Amino acid sequence: MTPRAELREPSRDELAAAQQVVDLFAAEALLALDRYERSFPAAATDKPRRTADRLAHWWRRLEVDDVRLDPHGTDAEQILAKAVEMSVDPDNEWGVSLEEASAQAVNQAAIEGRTLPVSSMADLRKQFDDAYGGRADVPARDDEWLARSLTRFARASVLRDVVAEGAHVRVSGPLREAADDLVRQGQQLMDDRTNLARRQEAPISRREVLLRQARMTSAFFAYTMGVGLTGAPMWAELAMKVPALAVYVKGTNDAWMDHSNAVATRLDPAQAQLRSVRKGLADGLDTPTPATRRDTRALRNSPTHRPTQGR
Amino acid sequence: MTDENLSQERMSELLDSGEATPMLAGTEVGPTWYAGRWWYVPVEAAEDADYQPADPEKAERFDSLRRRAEAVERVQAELDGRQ
Repeated sequence: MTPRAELREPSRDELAAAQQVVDLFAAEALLALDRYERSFPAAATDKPRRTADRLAHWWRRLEVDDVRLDPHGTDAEQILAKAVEMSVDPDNEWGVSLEEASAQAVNQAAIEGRTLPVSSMADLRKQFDDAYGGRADVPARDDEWLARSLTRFARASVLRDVVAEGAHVRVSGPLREAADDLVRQGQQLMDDRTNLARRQEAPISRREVLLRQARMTSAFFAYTMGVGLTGAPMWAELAMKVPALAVYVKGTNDAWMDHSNAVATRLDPAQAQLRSVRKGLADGLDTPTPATRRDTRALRNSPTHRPTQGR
Repeated sequence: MTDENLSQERMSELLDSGEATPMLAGTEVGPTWYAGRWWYVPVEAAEDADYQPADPEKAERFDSLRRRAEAVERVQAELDGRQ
């Protein structure tokens, strides 16, 4: 007889993990929309209309009309929500620009007495560039990145809404393995920066919950990147194709390093030495591609993978 | 397990045989269509809790979510076909 598992934490853990994935892909979709908008010549007078048409086209194809884009969500989500609202508005013949959408998002937050979005498109671009160091491999076809990122966003939003309905979701074994790889690449994957900052002070009994939540986030992330994944993917290569992944890993590392620096003054020498080692590992993650290729070569050349034919 | 519930093991068999269909491809556990109704494992229940049938209101929302999931897969297939 299989022992019954303990009663699980309430659904807020799953929901927080699912929402975090939605937030990440909302940011990616916004960056893709920004790139699409900037692909037009500066003098193109139909740019706002064509940008709105493309966004509305994929939005409707993905049937996300009733998706809850959170006007209280991340800055990226607030700007995307406003861009979508403008794009699908039948009375808006002009179209959309991200500059205008950002301004309207700020206005709406001010009117509603909410905290104003502080990140501009320039900030989001910088965050993206910092994560990639100019090595991003986004699709060359004009609207393909937009279509793919919105598709990931739509899949994440379905997952989030299923969880919000109170249904338990567990992804398949290969995807959980892929998520474990993601955790390893991200080194210290936490569910969000708030919990991350609390991690070291968290009671032992709470750490297990945090780790489970982190794994849940990465599993949902892996699921959302494509259910066709099998086995262990080449994460570094995939990161080039799914830009939100690198932003995610970098953000996690940054948050971890920020926290590490914050607690440094309380460390004794042995702890400080351990921290230094950990920082070295984290820095190594900033250049994942060479490490992964080296690992691949090592794997390929290992005795267990050498061809035995002819021996 | 009550008469109204299905164990996860039984649902897994039904999925393998094609008698049941998951709402989200690639999931081991999640809302599942079987015998003309939606079944799900409540998130607050134990990890290995039984599937239970969805009430009419929840079933309606699951229908809507399934339509969205299908739209995502259609677009994904189209994008994959471009490559």
